[in-house]
Amino acid sequence: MKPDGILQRISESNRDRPAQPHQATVEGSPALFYGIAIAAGATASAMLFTRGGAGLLILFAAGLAALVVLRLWTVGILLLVIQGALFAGQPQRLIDRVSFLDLVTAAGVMTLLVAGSRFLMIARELSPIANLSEATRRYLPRNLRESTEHDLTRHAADFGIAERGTGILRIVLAVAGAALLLRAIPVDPNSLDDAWLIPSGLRLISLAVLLLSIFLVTDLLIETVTWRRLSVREARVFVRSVLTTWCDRELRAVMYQEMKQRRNRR
Amino acid sequence: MLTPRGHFLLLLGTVGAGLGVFNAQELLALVSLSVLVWLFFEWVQFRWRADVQLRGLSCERLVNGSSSPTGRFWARRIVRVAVRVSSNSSMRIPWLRFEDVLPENMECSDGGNVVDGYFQGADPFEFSYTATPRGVGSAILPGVTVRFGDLQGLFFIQRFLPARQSFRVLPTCIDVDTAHPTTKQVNSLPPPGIHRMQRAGMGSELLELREYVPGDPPKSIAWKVSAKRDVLMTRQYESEVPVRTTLFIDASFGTRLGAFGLRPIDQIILLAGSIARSTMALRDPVGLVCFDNAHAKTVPSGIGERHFYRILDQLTECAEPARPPLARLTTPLLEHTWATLQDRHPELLLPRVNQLPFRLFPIRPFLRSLSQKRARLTAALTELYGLPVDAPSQLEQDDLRLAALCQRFLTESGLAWTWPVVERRGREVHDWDARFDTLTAALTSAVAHGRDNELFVLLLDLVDYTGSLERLKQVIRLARARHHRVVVICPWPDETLKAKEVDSSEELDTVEDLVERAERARLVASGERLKRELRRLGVPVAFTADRRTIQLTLIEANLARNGRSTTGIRR
Repeated sequence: MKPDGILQRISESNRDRPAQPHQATVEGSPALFYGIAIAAGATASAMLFTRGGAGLLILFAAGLAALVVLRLWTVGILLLVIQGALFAGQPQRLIDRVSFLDLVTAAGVMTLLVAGSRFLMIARELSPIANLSEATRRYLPRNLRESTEHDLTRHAADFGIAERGTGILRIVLAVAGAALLLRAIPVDPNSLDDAWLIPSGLRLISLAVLLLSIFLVTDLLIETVTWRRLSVREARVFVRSVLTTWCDRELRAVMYQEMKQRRNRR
Repeated sequence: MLTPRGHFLLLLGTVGAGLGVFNAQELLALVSLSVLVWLFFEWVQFRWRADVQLRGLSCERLVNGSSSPTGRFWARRIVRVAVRVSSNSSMRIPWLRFEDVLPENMECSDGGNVVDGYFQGADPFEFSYTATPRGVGSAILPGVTVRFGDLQGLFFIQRFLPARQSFRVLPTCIDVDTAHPTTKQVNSLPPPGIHRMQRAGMGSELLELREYVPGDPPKSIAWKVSAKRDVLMTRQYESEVPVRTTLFIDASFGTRLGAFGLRPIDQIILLAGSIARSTMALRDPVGLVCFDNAHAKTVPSGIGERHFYRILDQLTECAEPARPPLARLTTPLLEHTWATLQDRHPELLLPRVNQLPFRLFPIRPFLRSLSQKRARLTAALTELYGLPVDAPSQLEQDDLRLAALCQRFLTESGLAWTWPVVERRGREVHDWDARFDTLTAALTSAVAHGRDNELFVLLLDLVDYTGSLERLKQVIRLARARHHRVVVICPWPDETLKAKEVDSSEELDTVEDLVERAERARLVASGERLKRELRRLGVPVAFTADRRTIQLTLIEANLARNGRSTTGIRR
């Protein structure tokens, strides 16, 4: 209901008017490339579920690829499904060495995830299904909706060999890095005697410590490099906020006292 | 920094890796760890670009070909803007979105102020667009927002490149046919800007003949008439005076409410500028009195182009945002300030820079998030306005001070006086008593200082006023008693809504239609009441939506000059 008179003036705002939408670029060539990558990744991932049945494999791969096009949280859901299948279907074997087939499968899953993420970023309005999923976005909670609005598109001119190369490099590095990490936490059969922990528990703790150390060291390095690049204003806010943090309790007590006195004076 | 997609993948990777290692399922662990390693590489690369490379960006803007920090626009006229973003070193950032932040008073018709781009090497990135200022006042272009994300949508950051340029937006005047009559309607046609007055003076038109009084110049003796009557008779001539027009501009709080371009003050200023221009085209002097709830500012009468620009400057100053009436601190006001601050100074709100002390309370997530936002907001506002070190703690407790600061920030950021910048139920918005006090004092002073035959044009927002007009009538009677002419012009909320347009037979489907019709009926009734009450005093009432309003003012000026209308338009 429209408010009347003066209220109408206060309510009507240029802010409420629909802004000119920013046209997302639909990039044909990169989308095709990532589409093929998705299909390949989906096929490799589908091998996990359907070892032996070719017809089922194709059906499954097509289903996974379609899920990516549907856009909404697809990459995460795909990973969740794959992890669920692996958790339920894979046998338990305590070894510290991964097989070549495992590496290929992991690379396939990573291809699916990387290409899927990239595809979702560049082909927002590529298909009616994607449009349908765009329409469903308005019913999402606000924070999720905003996050998808932050998506950026890029001019097709920048798509080239470099990007494809770095995409492949990302996948190779990720799988190789993961394999190295697994090798770095060897299975210790005597862990129960040495550390009072079952071997897998010790491995888990070692992995957590290793990952945390890598993260902290890297963060420290980057922080050291970037710290001196803060602007004067940022530095002032930092110093002030740290000072306030130190004597927060005292300051709040003084403020409460002041407010109380002010109230009493009234 | 992490987007929801990134968060989700991080969570799944961590849980999967943990489960895989603990459950001795190597493939699950390998896949999940691969996801974590991928996220790690992306994070390192992203942070390097965001914290090192992006900080080397700077921007420069050319507005209508000039990079000067100040300048002038004309309302509703197209402005050409060219932006150049350059970097101080060679870099490769594949994915950036630039947005030249426009204040609410400017509108970009084609959305060209938001563009996607990338940096390759040391080449600058350039884009251009056109924009239109919506209303009179000021327009500040603060800078360019840079949004940067990685290629997979896992990380996102926003930076702001300051490039502040402030502009005054002058009113555009409507062209009205003000051609001076070329047909000779009286015996002698005075030069432009000079008008006959039916009083004795030093003009050239004969007013009357009277008997000679010692001291009369011998040159003025009418010898033929004297010979006929056998008494010395003297010719008395008319006085020739300029007709001064004084515009009274209502710049009170109530006229500043609404979106830029639709505010009553925009309509008032557009009309005032046009009237000033039309009147000065006839070489009549024009003066200006801008009044609000407390003060009145006067520009004395004058003529000439220089004086016209002085009037336009004063009108622009009237429309510039003042300090709004104080509002309560509400969640929308807080959220609005947060969003604007995040847009203009995102670096001051980063948790890494703006740190918070640990507090157990409030525990509920929404309240906790709101409390954290408030704490960060106070720290950032303290820095922006150079407040003392303990100000954040004070502002965290003092709602009124924080509300005032939020209002100040939003107004200075170019946001219009709409909700939540001002309160919907604010009582200070229409302080009619204060407004009438200032108007009465200003008009009485103008009458006291004025000569005969002046024209007072009162541009007042009276449509929402339902009280008694007696105070206004008193001061108008005073002016009329001194032979001045008075015109009242009110801003009309909707240009398409004419006074007689309320049709009772039209079909009403929804509640909105019903409310709209009731509002229209209220407006029309209010307009009719004003006309009825002021016409009794011989004061015509016009509305800004009517195109003939300027001509009506010119008619009144004409009546003031020679007691008759020459344009043929009925009052």
